[in-house]
Amino acid sequence: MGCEKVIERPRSVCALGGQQTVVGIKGAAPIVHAGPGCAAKIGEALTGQAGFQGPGPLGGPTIASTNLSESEVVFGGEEKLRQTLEGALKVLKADIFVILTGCVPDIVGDDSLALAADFREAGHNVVAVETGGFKGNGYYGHEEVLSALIKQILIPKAGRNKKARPRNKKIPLINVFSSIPYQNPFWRGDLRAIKELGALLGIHVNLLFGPDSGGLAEWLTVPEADLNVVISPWVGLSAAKLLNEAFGTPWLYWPVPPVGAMESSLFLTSLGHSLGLPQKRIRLATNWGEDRAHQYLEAITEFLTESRNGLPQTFHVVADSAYALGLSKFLVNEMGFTQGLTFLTDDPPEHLRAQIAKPFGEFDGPAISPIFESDGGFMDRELDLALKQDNEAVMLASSWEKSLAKEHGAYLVAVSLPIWDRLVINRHYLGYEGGLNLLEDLYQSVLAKVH
Amino acid sequence: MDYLKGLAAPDRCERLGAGVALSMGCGQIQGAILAGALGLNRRTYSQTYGCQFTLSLSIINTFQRTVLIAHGPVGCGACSVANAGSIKKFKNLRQATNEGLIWVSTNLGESEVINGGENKLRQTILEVDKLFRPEIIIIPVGCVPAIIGDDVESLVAALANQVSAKLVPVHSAGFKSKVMATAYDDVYHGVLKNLTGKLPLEASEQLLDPIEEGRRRLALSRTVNVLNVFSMSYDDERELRRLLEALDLKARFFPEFTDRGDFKTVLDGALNVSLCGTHDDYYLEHVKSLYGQPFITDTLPVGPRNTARWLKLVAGFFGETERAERLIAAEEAALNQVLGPFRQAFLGKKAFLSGGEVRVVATAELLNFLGLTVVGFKGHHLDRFILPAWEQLEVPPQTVFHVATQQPSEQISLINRLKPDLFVGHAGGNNITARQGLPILPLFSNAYGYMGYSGIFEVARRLRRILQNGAFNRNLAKHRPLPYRKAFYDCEADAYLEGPRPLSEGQLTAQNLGQ
Repeated sequence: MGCEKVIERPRSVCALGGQQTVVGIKGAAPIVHAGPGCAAKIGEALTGQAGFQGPGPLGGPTIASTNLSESEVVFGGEEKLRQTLEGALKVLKADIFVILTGCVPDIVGDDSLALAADFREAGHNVVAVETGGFKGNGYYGHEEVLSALIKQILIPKAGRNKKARPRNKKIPLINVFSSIPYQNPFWRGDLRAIKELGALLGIHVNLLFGPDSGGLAEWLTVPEADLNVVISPWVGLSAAKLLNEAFGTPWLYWPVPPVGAMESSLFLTSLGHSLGLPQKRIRLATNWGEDRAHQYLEAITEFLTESRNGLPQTFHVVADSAYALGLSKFLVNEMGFTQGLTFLTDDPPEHLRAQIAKPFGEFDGPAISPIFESDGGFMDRELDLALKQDNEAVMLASSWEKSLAKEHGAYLVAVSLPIWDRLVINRHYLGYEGGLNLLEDLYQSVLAKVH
Repeated sequence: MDYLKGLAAPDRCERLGAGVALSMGCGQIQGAILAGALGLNRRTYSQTYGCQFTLSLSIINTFQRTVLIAHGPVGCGACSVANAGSIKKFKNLRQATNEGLIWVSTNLGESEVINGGENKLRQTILEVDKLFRPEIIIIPVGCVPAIIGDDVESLVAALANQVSAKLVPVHSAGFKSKVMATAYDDVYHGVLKNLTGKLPLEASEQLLDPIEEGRRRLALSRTVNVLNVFSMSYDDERELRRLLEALDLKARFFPEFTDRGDFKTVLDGALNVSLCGTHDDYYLEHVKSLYGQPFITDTLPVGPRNTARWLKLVAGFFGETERAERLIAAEEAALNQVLGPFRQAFLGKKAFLSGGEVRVVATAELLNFLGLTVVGFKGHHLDRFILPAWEQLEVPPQTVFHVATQQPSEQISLINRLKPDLFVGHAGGNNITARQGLPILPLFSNAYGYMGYSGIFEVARRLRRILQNGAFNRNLAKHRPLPYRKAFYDCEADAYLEGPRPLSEGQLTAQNLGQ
């Protein structure tokens, strides 16, 4: 997947991007079996160049790496991996260790999976994933890590989690597969927003990643959940299917991440129904969320209707398919914007593309067809033409588009990789407040240019 | 020196016997280097660091009117795409009109691993040449094409007449060297083979008036090529230019932020002056043997003694030593006048430095001058290029000099044992020691001056600000402890270095005394 064409101005990393999925799990340590620079490159690309997210507790320079040299290329690197893993077990305070391979061992044929199995036999929580860079992009790497955790830890340990506290069955539990750690710069805030949506319905949410999750202990409760919720057009679906096969857990597929009041209420209603919650409880939650959001929307009405700033009507998107869907639906259906060029940069598998593109044709505005594209050069030329016709458009794109925005005097909000001109801490675009945040950022770009 | 017949530059472990896994007292360094005893370069527990590919980008990214084709999977070099933004800014400081970095990846996949990546690279080169018409297409080659055996040299030779850009392959597969700085040789290897060369005499020059020609030659006889590095700023360049102009010398900076033609015009300069042997020896030696251009590579002009030594060496080449001494005296007097109030803030403070071998030693001299005490070093690697800067520094012989490229676990052990008040570090490891609660001064910056006399003042100014209130890092250390087991903290920093250590103090002393 994803390696057919040459790419100018890349928006994703290689499969080793799965490393940051591991860093996103509390108490999980990546062990990178690759050349010396691989882990450092991926770490920097997905943190410093993704809104300066920071290396994470067990990421960045602390990542153990076999730093392969010529001798391992010739003789194999399994021994070096064993030694590094033994070192990591002694040195690092972590609950689970995930070996991720780079190009070199995947070409020379090191059997990292067997090595991880040996360590599991000996009682250590060790998982291995083959993420050689040539196998796919960072989204592929993320999916491979999810699959490895399910197959190598959750399935073998199911029913043997003696430390787990018996849970209160009256409170439903869901696992969420949504914003991807680090590859979506706003993942921490987004996941927290999803947890808060769940709290409105009175349900427990396993976020699995980030500051508001519970690390390995939380992962071990994944099989007990009542429902797996995939809030993404495709990433996470394979995990939900695997979990369904292994534990019979049903899943809710919600392809358009909820941004803003309208979509958050639709999502909560569907989630509530899937869990068989009382209608009254659902309505209370959505009424509260919508009322609150609309008080703020009412407050910006003056700015929107009386402003002399020539506010943008059209927006162009360059983002992964999840964010492109979520942000666009909010701007079109709730805010009355017109959708312009829409580039989906995550290179999803061919057989899922029609399904991913479908919602764009069902928005309230004129139907558009998104373009699946990871080559920045192509996008640049198309956007250049579009901005020549209407430079009052806003681009929801990446820092690559900054020079284009400057050239045309257009507006830009960097929402997708890479981001090097914006610091992201806990900003988020999902949920009731997420829509308001997007509006703040969007109109900030307008006001900053005008004044 | 002539390595240009080879496909790629040799690994620095072999060419220079450089060490990357060592720990010793400062008093042992000279002996160990002279004895060629820099260890096995192996550790039993290692953490990630930059590879040659990454570091080669620090030069390549700065070239003007250049397209970069990263030949590898899309992750190779992904850490440096932000340079498209920052480099554009720094390029604009030097030349007002330029494009941002144009970055292309051949995005190698499973099919190329099986069938080879040459076809994809060929198509990319032709397409990029047609689309962007750059002066240079530079092609860093990563691990995958190196293992699957892509013949990039033959491909480039075959395409040379089909494209208008000059093609420059840079063989920088990460697994080929444990010494990251081999990257500089990789880039220069490509540059020397493909961009360097005497300019043909232009017709207009041939007809030049003899008096004009005399003037031109006179100007060139006072022209110094200063080899700049990515870990310096435009302010640094301006400072060095100011000092050289005070000696009636014209400074020309390259190879960073340069373009295709510059590599030819620089050959007419009277002298090449390096700022850091680690960065430039491969280029300087080759250009001397190929074109007879003399060079000086000695210390880095950071800190007053190093700056004075550097200036005197350059001036000495032009017979201007006395003039340089007067300049140095005037600069030092001016500096001492303004530093008074700052020195009070630094009195009794202990510093630890981490980063490139030459840079940390030169910066230690600067810190000593400001009144701080240096309690230890961690150098990325160790080889003979450290020696000139070393001669400017006075530290007790037992002061730790640890050698490791990044390796934060070793850094943490050293900081815990030495308990400095300040950490001066290379990018990438500062966040670790910030979590140990220490104030941090970045070892270099593209945005601030460190070199020459104005650099000393600039460092003093920033350092006082940094030491004024260390609340953030102290607070962080309380709430976010580092992720290491207790047993780890009982180990010394050298616990994971494999094989025999360098010679013991006794052995080295015996050697130094010639016994």
